[in-house]
Amino acid sequence: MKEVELRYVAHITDITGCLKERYRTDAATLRDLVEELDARYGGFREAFVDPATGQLRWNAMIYYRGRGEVPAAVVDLDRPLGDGAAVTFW
Amino acid sequence: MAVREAREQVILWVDLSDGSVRREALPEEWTRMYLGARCVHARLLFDHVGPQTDPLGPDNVLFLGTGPMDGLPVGMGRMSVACKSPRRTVAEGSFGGFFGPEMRRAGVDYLAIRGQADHPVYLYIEDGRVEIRDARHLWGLKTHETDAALRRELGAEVQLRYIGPAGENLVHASPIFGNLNQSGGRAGCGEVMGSKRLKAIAVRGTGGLRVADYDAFLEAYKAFRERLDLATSRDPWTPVWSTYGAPVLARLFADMGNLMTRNAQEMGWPEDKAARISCEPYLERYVTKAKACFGCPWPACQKLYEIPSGRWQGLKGGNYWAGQPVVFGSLLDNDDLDLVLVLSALCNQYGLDIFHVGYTLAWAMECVERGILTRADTDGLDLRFGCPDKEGLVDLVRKIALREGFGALLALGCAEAAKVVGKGSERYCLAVKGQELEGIAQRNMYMVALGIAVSEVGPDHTRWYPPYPCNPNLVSREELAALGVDLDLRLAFQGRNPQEKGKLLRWFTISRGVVESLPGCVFLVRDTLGLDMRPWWRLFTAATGLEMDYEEFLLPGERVVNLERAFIVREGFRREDDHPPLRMQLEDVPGFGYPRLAPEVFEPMLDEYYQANGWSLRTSVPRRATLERLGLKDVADALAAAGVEVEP
Amino acid sequence: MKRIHVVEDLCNGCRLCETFCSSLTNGVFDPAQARIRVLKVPGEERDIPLVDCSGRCIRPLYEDGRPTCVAVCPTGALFYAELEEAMARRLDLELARREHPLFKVIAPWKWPLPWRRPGAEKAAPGEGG
Repeated sequence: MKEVELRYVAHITDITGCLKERYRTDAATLRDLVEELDARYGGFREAFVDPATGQLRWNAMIYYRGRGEVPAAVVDLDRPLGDGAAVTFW
Repeated sequence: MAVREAREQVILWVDLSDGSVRREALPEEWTRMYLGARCVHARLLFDHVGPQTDPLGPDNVLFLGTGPMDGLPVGMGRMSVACKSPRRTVAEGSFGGFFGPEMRRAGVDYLAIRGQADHPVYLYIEDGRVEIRDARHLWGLKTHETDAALRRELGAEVQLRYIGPAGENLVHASPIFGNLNQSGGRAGCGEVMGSKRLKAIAVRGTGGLRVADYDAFLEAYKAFRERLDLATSRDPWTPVWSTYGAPVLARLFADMGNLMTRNAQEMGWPEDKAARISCEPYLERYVTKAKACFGCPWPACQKLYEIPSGRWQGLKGGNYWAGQPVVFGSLLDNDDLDLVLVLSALCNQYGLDIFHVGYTLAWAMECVERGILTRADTDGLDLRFGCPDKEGLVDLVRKIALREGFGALLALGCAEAAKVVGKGSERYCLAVKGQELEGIAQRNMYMVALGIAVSEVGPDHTRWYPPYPCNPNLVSREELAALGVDLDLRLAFQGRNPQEKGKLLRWFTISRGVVESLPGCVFLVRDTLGLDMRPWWRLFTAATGLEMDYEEFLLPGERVVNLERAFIVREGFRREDDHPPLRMQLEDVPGFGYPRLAPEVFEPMLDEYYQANGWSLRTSVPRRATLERLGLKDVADALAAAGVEVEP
Repeated sequence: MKRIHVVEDLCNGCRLCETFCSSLTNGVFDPAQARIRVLKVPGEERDIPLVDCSGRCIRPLYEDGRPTCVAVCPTGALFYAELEEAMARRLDLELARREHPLFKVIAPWKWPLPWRRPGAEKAAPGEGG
């Protein structure tokens, strides 16, 4: 079980109802995390995954901050999810 | 008032000393070479104002200008305001709202105002006719009071631009205001307007505008709109920016260690403080309504707000964007959103520049922290980071606008104030070419460092923003090649890598230079990272009927940067003046490991930028070959005649 | 019968509606010729669209049956519907606003991204386009 911090920005709070939360998960990648959040809140797959390419939608953003690192914009949804990471959904 | 062709461009020269008005039609060649707005102003400024001109004297010219796209639903009501700054740089800014379209309907595309009135006046323009009217009853009024008073006098449909008490009192960096919360020309256009005793400009127009090829225009519009609409835009910032708004950057920057904190001594303002002043609580508790400029395709770039409770309940303001969370938030170590919004609203009401006020307050707070200023200096105000005396701080804003007490020192701006105070306080002044910084940190993003340093109007991010697209794949290699853009985007967008920054800055300044000369809104170029200007080109050619290929359409973007650079080198500015504030050059950022902007990092970026632009590496003066390639041989000759060394 | 409905407090005053309307009749951008006008209350605190039109454009911008003003409105302050649908939409807006401040500045029918409807457990796709 990993523990990660999830942050929701602006219009993403209209899906989740909260600004941030601590979250425990076994998701291996960001893609898996998005699927879990979709099952929990609805709307995540539609907001973040382009159905045509399976990649991150052009008009969405995810910033990933590994433990002890500076946040960087995510391009590849198959990026591994690390323990202690902070993930910000736009 | 008759229907005019969209491509028509008419200047009214108004002399406030003798009351004369002269109408001049711009030749079509000018529209082709300079488009309109910012680039036309750069040309006019270079031709009519120079080193001999006292910026606060009668010979400075204040230009307010539209362009061929204004009044059409793609110009977004943008317009340019320009003059020589009291800091001797170009003072050029852009603002929106509805004044530009009204000028166009009135048959006046540009106003060029020179001279000085001997008592406060305002200009009233109706369908091409200009009257100079007494404004003594308006002098001293705040911006929103001026707006209300003139609408009572002249009718609800009149469009207005005005200065507040700060501009009247020639406070440093006062902009010009309009439509309540639009402001432009923070490099000193409000000061210059105040020096002419010109309180306001009112315009009413009943004419229409016809585009040359209506069918092509509509097709181009639909494609343009698809790029910008919420549902179809590729730009990931569109959903946030167009609804919740730009203050969201507080949270992103906090995460990245990019929020200048306590006068940029650090950059680690905590994320939970940033969240308190971010767009989410703003939208939930303060926003009353969405507002837009003329013709904007976004729902709520601007918003009106009202303080819901507490000491300042009922105070109204608007346009909380990305600057205020920094200058009234992290910079002062204040996480009270009420205070941020009150300070912002008062700056607008008094006609002050938020960056001047924020950075000068932060400078003063650091001086207090270091014992350089004491409570005896600050009229007894406890002026420390964290803002322990909020009411005193709010009252200090009023004193800055009115040059009262301690406010009189701060009204000079932090560069001049630091010269007065001395004792090493210059080190804590965050300004370039005498003008305070804006909201984006430099030691974490080198393109920002370069962009604010070289700008010919002092720091102005709108001339190249944004530096940090999240996904370089937004523009494919094929698209880049088709656009003729020779850049390694991956390197260019790596924040702390000096490579490719000069070349990226060149492309950004060219594309923004084009947009600001159409005129159009630079918020709306972010799809494809501001590198693809073809949608604008198709709109422009359809609207004006001018046939030009895409390369020719981009040349005004180069010309405007070169004209503005020519202006400032003639005033004496050189490479040495194109550097970030001392703090950024000398101090590493504690805690994040961001190093200072040492010469090994910064000088190669300057070299790359000047090289890409075809300017002298030694001086920054544009080379003769560059100016001649751009059809500006006369500018090269004028510089040489003025004693400026122009390399071949 | 469908007509153009106005949600006044969603109007941001952009005037796209009157600008396009005027030009579609004769190719000239001149709001005085438009069949929809936006009144800006002095002080600009309110923007009020006033419509004098059936919604059947002489020359619509888009070929999808929408009046042009409705199609270009960025906030969804204008919509084209029969009475029953209009009532349902307004009710949705009022309920949505209680939980989502987002709908102070844009209509739910204009918002394209997923959001959680009042009473629903999970978010569903936005209708807007």
